[in-house]
Amino acid sequence: MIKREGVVAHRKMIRVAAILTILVLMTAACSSKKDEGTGKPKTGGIFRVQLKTFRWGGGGFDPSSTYSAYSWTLYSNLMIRSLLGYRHVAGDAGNQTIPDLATDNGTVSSDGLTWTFKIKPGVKFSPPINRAVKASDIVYSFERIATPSVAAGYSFYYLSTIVGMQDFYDKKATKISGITTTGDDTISFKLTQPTGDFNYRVSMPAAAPIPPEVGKCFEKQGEYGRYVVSTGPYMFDGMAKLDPTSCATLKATVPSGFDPSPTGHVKLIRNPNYDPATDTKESRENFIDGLTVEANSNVADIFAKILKNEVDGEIANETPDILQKATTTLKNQVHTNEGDRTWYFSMNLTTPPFDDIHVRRAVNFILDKAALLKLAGGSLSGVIAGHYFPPSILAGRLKDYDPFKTTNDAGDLEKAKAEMKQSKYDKNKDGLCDPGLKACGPIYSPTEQAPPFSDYIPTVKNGFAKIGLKMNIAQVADSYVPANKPANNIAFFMGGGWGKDYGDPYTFAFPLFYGPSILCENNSAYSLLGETRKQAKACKNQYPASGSVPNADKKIDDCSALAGEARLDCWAELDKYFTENVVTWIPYRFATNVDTVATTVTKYVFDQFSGYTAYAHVSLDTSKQVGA
Amino acid sequence: MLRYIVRRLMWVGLVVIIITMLTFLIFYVIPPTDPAISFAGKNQGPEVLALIRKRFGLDQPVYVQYGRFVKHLFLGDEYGWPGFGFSYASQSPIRGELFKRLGITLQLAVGGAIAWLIIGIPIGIVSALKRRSLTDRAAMGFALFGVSAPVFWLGLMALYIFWYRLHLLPGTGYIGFGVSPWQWFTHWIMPWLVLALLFAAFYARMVRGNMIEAMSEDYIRTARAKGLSERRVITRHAMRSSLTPVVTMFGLDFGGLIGGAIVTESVFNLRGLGSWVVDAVFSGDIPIVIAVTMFGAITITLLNLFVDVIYAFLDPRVRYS
Repeated sequence: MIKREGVVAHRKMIRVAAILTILVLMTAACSSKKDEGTGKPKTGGIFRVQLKTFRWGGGGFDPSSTYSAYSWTLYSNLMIRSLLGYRHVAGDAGNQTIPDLATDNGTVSSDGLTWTFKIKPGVKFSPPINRAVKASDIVYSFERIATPSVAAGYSFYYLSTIVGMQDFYDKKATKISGITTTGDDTISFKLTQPTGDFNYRVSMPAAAPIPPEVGKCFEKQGEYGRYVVSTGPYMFDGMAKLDPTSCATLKATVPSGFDPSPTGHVKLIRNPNYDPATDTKESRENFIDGLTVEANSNVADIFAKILKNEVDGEIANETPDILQKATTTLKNQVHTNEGDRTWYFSMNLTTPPFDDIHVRRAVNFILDKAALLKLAGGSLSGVIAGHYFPPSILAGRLKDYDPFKTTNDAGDLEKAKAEMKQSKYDKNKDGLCDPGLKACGPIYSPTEQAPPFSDYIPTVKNGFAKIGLKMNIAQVADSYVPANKPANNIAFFMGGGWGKDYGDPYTFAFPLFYGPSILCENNSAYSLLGETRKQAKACKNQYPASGSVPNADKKIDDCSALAGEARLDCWAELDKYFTENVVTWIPYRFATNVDTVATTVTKYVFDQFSGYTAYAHVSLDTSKQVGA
Repeated sequence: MLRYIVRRLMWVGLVVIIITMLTFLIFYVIPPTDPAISFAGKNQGPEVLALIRKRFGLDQPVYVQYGRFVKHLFLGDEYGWPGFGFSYASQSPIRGELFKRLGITLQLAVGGAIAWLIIGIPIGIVSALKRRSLTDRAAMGFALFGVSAPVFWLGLMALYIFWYRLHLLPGTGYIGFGVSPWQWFTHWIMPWLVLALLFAAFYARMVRGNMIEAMSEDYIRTARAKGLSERRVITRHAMRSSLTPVVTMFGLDFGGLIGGAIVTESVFNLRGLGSWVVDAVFSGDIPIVIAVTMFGAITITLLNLFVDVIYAFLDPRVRYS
């Protein structure tokens, strides 16, 4: 009997849901709206969210370590305050930092190497700590980032940037020499090099203050997540019951407001120590009295409950059949916004045939991107990508830039063949990769088992076959696993997708295209751009006979040092360089985020920073809530 | 009989050891994902990966890991007995969570089992006794429908009709008995019936076949010839022999459900073992997968033994030495 209940039925269900999803997305495309936030706000009510499953990653909701956008939504909107924060609105304004815990945007020394912030008076930690936030609490947060056992998810934004932080990480120092405090309210960061996006880096949840008296009890990965002490308007339910006298007394009780298991829950209530006078309405309006997040394994049911006002919002990545009804009957409840994410296929620069730029250009020309977009759900799922960094984080630059544009985005065989003819893998110059060559296939490529990736396979296979490339595409449970090891020499990876961490292209350039970012395990820089022969030897991956792969490290360093418009111009130029001269990806879609809320939500705002609902600004009509 | 039970218990021990080896081999030696990488997050360097591997005990040789795994399983670990370790994702002990979720799965399995026995057995008997009648055809039509309809489809349809459209029953989720006995019961009606429908259909077909066969046996004719009433012939003679295979099936089916009725739990958003283990598989939380696998395997093995013993009481021809 278990057989009937098992995998086959589950897969069928997923397939049906996927087909329905596509129908839904296509329908919704006609009726969705982009939002900046309007409505009649009311105070009160508990905002009830359901999602399919919790995925906090290894961080387990610890702000020092968690590398999950939804965690950041909860932190930034509701729970914790960094020196700089966000407006929590849609569009470009939502990607710009504004003062949060700090009195202003900070001062930068003339050499760009020292950033100083002054902390607002009157900001207190939630129970059970109940004391004012001090500059030393922020120092401690940075020490946590540089503590290997905490496994800070994005420590690479800080370790080599702040003087002495790498030494602290390596246990060569007991203090981070580059972070100093003056009194309880002033903190300075000395940087190793000018870093134009440092404002963004101090806005991240990991950079928010953590009281050492709690944090030091939880310095293993994922432990602190259950005990996060708030500085924002909301906190975990049950925090007031904790006894912070010692680590033992603290650990004796677990706050009821957070269960990190995959089918767990979050329950946030108002933080009695939060003083709205220390905050701005531009950043947080705090209409709701609290928020609950629960897992619901049935995605269709989540949307059914939204339709019946039994749930107010969803974080279900799938949008099943019931959303179709939502888009027609509740037109204003479906919200679409730019997702600041690029979906791409990655080519390995060290592995034939993609070690040849003409082959890389040829596949960029041949691919039917329109078909891929349709398979992903049509225009509601995003727009066709012509380059690497989403235009939304380039302040609109390169919006129409696409050097590989083809008629109707359906691919261009002639242009592809013309490129292939110039490659070393087409010796007879017929525009086809030479059949006898091992490089021409079968080319092993892992991709995800689930749609839309599994649906892309025929488009890719058939397209590439037209220029003589034979693909062997394997559907695997987690295609990241084989792809993240350079030693596997994966020539073509179809599971690539990258979203910004904050509103600056550095969050793409550094982890994905910077040579030193390449790791022998757990590597996200799949293309191995900038890999040296020494790295290749250490990682045991093959290296081109030519003796080198393209390198953009210097260009990335140059852009990273700039600020303002010059910085954005530099990133735009780098994007063009990647797209035309390196050609390590086939970018095919800039994603859209789709968010559905119940009619109980009288004010909806999208948070561009985290890519989800801006809970800091939403309001509810509690009279419409069913079962609250 | 006692000797038989002891011998079977020893076999159970051996089977469990073999299951631990296979489970360990599948999930630790040839895992689909690297747990350290799954839980480190992207771009973590070798230092962090090494720390995580050390914390998870993955830095030890395979035989050491296996030894510790078996030791904890049988002797308990820091979180109690049996020692299932901690979840990589939630960093919390598995044992408590497993028993909490087992409660939900048991409620689903017990309620569903009662429902399918109540539905399936009478339908099978009536159908056998009224062969080729309208009742028989209707009953077998029901069985065909039950066997053919996928559980997820049945569940979604039931939700759509009885909750979404007719508002007769509450939707998904679980309400504790202590919160409201009535709500607890109403929340369980759909999961129980949906789960039961599939099994009831199987049981109806099986009982019908067995009954038809039994009714044509010589001992039934003898019973009738002795002047026993038809009711007594059916209940004392035909049913007894035709229901013994049901006991075997029931033990296996029920034991299987203890491992989690994955689809039913997922459709009705019941936080039992099934949905838990599915999430754990997708997130690479191996200790949870192993704990549920081991728990399910041991339960099925013990239920099998239990069924064999019961069998001897039900069927006088079966005797153990």
